[in-house]
Amino acid sequence: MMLQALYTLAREKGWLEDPDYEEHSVHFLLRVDDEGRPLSLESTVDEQGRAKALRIPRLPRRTSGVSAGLLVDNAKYILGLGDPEKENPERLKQCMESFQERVTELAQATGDEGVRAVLRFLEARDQWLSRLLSWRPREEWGGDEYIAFIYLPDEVRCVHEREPVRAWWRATREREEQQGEASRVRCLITGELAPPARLHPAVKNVPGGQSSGTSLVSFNEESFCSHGLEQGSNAPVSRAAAEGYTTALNWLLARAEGRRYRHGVALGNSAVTVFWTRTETGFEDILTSLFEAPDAQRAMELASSPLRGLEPADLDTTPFYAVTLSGNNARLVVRDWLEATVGDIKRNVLRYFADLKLAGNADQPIPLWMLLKAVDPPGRAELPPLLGTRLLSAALRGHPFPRELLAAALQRLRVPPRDGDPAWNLRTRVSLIKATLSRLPRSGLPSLEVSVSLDEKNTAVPYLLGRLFAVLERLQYAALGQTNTTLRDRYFGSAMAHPAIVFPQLLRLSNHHASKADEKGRWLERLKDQICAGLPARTFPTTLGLEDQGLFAVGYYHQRHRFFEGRTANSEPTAA
Amino acid sequence: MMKRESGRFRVRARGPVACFTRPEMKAERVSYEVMTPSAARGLLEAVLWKPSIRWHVHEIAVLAPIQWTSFRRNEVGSRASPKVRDFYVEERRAQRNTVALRDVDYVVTCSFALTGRAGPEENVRKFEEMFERRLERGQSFHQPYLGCREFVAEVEPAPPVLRAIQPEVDRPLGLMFYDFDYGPNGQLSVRPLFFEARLKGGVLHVPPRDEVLRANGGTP
Repeated sequence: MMLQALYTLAREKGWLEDPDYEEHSVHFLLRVDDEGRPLSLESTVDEQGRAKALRIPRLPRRTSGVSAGLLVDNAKYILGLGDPEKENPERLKQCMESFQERVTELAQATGDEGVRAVLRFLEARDQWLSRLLSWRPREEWGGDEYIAFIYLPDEVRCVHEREPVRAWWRATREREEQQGEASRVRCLITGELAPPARLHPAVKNVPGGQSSGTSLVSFNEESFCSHGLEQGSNAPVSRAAAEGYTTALNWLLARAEGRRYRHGVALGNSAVTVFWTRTETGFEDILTSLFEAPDAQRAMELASSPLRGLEPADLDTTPFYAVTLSGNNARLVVRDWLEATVGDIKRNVLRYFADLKLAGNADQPIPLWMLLKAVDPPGRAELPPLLGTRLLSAALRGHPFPRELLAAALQRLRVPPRDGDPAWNLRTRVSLIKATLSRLPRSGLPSLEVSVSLDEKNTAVPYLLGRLFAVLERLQYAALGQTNTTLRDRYFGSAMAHPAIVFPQLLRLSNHHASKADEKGRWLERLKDQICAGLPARTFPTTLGLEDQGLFAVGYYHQRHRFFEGRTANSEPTAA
Repeated sequence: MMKRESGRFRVRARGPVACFTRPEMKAERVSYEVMTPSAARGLLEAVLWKPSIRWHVHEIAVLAPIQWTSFRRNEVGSRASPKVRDFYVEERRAQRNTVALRDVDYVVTCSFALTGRAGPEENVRKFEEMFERRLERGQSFHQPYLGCREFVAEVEPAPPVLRAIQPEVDRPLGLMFYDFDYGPNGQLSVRPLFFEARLKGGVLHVPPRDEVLRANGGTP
């Protein structure tokens, strides 16, 4: 269903009306006269460094071989200019020859003046090169600049847009297609009978894939093929459908408006999730920003208003699609596929942000990459990509978060906070822990309702222990001020995992701190006693499980945050 | 005139993992949402198959919610065959991802028909009884599996009162792989057949083979 959905997207966007042409950025327009003299070289690149997208004849599927486009191609093919360190001159020559051959064939077939002018230019290429280089010096050419031709009398229209050229190109492509006529099969995407596409166009900008592009449908090893079928015959898809779904996928994955992906969210460095809806709603845009959040301010606005603003009832039933992709060299890997409605997604995503809400960040949603970064193992490569995939999948589906996430967040809390902004890290990690806990399957476990800020009525032992730890840390600060190694640096991990071993010692230590501390110490002492009173007869649990450790961390954070908020009237403990 | 078509059987198949691979995503596997007719045929053939019979799958009822899982494994890129004497896995590694189904539970409604290779002494009743007996005892020629050999299936006669999950669901599943067409005598080139799959009341109704052949451009 995924390919169908992508194909439908392409059809609705009108990308398939002209299947012989594709949209591609073209960096330069080269104007030539009747004699093939180059008159000017116009750059289409704007201030942001983006080239203008033109409709150009579909480029051939490029691998390491030489295969030229029709009338439009990059500087290597047209001018033989490329990075001298990477390109060997022999290959550049082949590229130029291949390009010229196609133009010669086209000129003979159509007799079109514009094409002939281009051909004359190509034939006398060496002669004109110095003039071109005077407009743009050799060292500025990288070889990947796309160039299109304009024939002088046409003013603005490119040569590849001329009628005879279009007609010839269409006829050629049709002929190519008909050569496969003998073996018409049912297209897996459209359901129509058509010859199968042998190779599918490449999908670009997928993390982990090759820069020249990756294939979603490919059979590049013997063991992937069935019954001696080769390449595309293993999964019959018509050429139009193959071009349709790849165009759609490439559009979703394209870099846009200051984002890494137009409608995609990066999951670490190795996977991306792209979204789209059945009908254009702008919802995908909001969702992408919300997870990616280029700046917190914008995310905040989006979280509060437009999601509620998009209320028309039929929007809620609009189908929504999400696919998580990553590259495996030349192949594209689908890691997850989700089909839902906009309404469901909206509900789930709002719940996701509500679950992450924590005192101190309540009005500022955390972007996904920040969450993942906060639980990265220190000083090493990132987390397994699967974790990001599963986190986003759980967010969109409203499922419990993966348990590994809880383990990773707790693991990071145990390590003394030395990297980055410690307050931010603590908040983000606890946020994640809190969200994980509040999504636990309710059955079986004792109540794990986790609130946004300090809950003085919560009597769960791990929560109280977490609060107690925060009080003891505060007491140490009140007694000694800033120290090199705090209680948290030294004992947090073990207190969380084995309270029975650590807490008695910490409580003894706290009496010492209390005697040194001033007025404030007495208030903390009272708070300590109050919390201890809630604990069962002062016997601490020997070990805490993963979820309980999470609750400990949340209790610690809540209590600590309350200290920073300052003492307000109602937080003042009353003498027990 | 001897009866050539058996009565209908209901067979329950379940397992912790299943992957009914889509042909378009076969290198990096992605499963269909529901068991394909050809996978169901494979299950039945594991219990009983003779040259004299051919299985037909009529319905596949989905009893468990559709859940996904994903994992990556080291596999091999080429095939081992008796002609290849040395097969060093280390030299033929191919890492592949699988998006599979979790905790599947199906009831397959099926029947079989005698083929042209059935001898004069063979009759439908004999095979019906054989199948029932074997299914009851849990006998099989090889381990029944769910799409891929490594995902074992537990196969048993279906209790009479099982209901499909989500009987209200009615949605298209797109084109689904039906089975291979081996040509009239199994000598022509093999071609895959597809059909328009639809989950109706939690049940996938499988069209008869003739209809699918017609829809795929007829018999070559």
